[in-house]
Amino acid sequence: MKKKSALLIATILAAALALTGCTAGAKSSAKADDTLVIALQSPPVSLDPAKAAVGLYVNYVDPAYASLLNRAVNGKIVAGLADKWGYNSDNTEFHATLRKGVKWADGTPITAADVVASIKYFATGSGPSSPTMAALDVSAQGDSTVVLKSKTPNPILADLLTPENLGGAIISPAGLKNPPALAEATYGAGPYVYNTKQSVSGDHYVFTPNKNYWNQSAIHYKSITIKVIANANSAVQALKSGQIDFMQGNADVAPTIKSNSDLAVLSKPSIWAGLFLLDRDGTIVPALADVRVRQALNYAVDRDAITKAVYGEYGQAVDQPQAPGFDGYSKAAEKVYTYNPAKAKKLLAEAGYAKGLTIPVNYGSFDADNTKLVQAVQEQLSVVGVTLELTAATNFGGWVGDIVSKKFAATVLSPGSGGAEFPFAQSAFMPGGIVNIFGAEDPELSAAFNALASASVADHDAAAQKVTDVAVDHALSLPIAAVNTTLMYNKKLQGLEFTKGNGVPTYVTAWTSK
Amino acid sequence: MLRIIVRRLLLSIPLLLVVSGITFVLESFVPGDPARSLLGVNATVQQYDALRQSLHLNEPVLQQYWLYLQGLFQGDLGKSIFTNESVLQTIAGRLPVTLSLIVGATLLASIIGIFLGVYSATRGRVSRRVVDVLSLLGIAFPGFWVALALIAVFAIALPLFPATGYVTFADSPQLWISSLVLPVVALTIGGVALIAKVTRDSMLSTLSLDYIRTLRASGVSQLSIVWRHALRNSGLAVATTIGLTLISFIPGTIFVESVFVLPGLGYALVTATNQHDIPLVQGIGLTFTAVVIVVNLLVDILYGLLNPKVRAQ
Repeated sequence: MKKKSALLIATILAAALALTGCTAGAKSSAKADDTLVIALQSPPVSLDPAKAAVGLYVNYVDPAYASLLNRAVNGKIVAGLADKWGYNSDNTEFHATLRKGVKWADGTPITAADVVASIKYFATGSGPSSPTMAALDVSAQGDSTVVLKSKTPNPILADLLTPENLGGAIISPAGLKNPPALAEATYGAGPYVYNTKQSVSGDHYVFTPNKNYWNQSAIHYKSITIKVIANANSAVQALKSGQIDFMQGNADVAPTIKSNSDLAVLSKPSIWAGLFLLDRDGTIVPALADVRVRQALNYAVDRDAITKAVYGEYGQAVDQPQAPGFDGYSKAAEKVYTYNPAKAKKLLAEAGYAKGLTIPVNYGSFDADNTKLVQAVQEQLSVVGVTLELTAATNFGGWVGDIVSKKFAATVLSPGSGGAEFPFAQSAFMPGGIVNIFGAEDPELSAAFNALASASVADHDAAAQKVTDVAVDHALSLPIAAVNTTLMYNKKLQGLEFTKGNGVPTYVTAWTSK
Repeated sequence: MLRIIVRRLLLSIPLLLVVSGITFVLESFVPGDPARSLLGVNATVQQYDALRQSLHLNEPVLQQYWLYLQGLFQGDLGKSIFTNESVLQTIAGRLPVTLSLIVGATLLASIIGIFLGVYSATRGRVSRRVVDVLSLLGIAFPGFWVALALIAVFAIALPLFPATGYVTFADSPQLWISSLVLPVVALTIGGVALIAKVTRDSMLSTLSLDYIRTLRASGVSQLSIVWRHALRNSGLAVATTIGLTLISFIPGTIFVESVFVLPGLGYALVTATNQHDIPLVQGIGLTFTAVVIVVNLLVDILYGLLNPKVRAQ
């Protein structure tokens, strides 16, 4: 009898525990409307703006580090911590003036000298715009004006100071005193501050309101949490169950929420994917120095078929290294290389490669879409006698290491999330460019680039498109598709839009929940 | 008994050293460079060289390992190359999550496995076949698929449990339980089969012994014979199997923590391996080895509790 009672009590307790778990789970699944939860696929490289990744990963930094300037949805540069700015007549000098009363999160006023120190520190980092910042002369004029001087014309100095490049995501003197601490804590002037107590490194990063932010009405949330969810399927489940508001999707998972009326997909071309031809001067593959060979590669691939197979409705075929709607995208360069294997073979024969050639290519197998893309390109190029020797890198560090080893004539690239033509062309095609590993030079492209550098605002678009036209005519790359950045979100979230010319949605102060 | 415990603990020291050495060497073969991963494409050659020097990555593997051992003997497991956080701190924060998962799954697998084993040992052939099939289905279904199916049904279609995430016991015992139910079930399903089978085989063997017949003849109830006498004497084999099952759950935490987004050691290990974060990989490897050592020790102690002859030896 005693044992039966014990068994009965144990069963009741177990049932009670399970019921408690159910009830608690049902209540806890959906998050509160006054919090914002974002899911990103990997943890931040660092919380230090000088080392942080851009694209969607700027969300790890953006809440705590307000930038000097911002970009509105229509693509125009607008005020941030600075409310006055401008260039001189030849784009060699730029000034930005701090708005009155702005403070660091610790309450101390921000001065021009603070901004200069921050920009100089940023120039020593490894961010995508750090090399450009390092070439600038930065100084303070009075207490609130910062002047950036460039030896050569640079039309994107304002862009460098926006969140998409992080150059203007200023760091306080307290943070600069101990740079290693920037990896674990924030020292900015943004609407939120990083809350180390509520965060778990590698799992979730919590930001709570900054009472010293200059525009309190822009703070819409009690907290912003960025959760690391590497598995896209897990992120979708979290979105469906109301645990998160927003995630980056892809062609595979985006269709799975179509039947859910509470959720929506925002998708727009933002990057180009394809083969980036590193060895354009023919250092390891002499054939690539011949424009006919590079053009043959472009004629030999069926972009429409590959794009449909790899990206479905989330990509569109392009034969230029820019996505539609972005700076430098050229209507004149559309459909220059239609699929024509016979023409490809003819060009190869004219160049003396009728028997074909071999090109060593590296790619990152950690990117499933890039893997499918390069395999499809390999198959199609083999038809015209071009063999791609593929080497996979299983992680990002390995991929970068392979590129800088100069053992590969081409790599598979999906460069960031859109952006201006100037920095892309500078890094990819100009001598000394970070991605121009072999230092290849094309005189006509250099001339177009220099014209772009000194172009006025009115002439900028035409000059950027000219750079693209040259890059396409000379077949400096093998673009395949303009790939969409796909965002999946709960419709309660408002203000979520792609900024014109940028693959990153408008920053966090613009988002609100119903 | 105390002698056994002390001897086991002393033997575990060289084991931990061997594991750390093998892990270090194997990790050095993983392609990639943490300095490149940290700095990206935009770093200058000087920045890259400086970072490699500061992380001792430019030194021979054996030299790097010796530096690591020097820290280890002082109780310092180093810092994560990526987060700059102390490895000990990272492990301390994540170990409770992983332990909750594997201990919970082991308890659940043991309860279900023992029940199924005893049931099939004391019923007819049809019942045994049913139990066999159920157990094998548990092994056959891929754990990843089971996890996603549980989420689809019990977190989305019927929102009874959260789809992802973990809440600590200190924050809310209720939500802690809730956040562990689905992951524990996903991990448990594969572990039930072996426990059920070993329990059944051991029970069948014990129930055929003379003393059981004597107990029956003495009028002892079947319930008492099965659960009090026979199960206890079958306990050694079952205890060993439960210990092995717990150990087998350790690699399982990798996929469960990934699917349910639990901030445990399994998930951290995958990320650390991909990032070439050697100190963190080493620390987690040592932690898992320590868990295995402790489990084996507990099984030995349990032997002693279950069998007086072992205690006397």
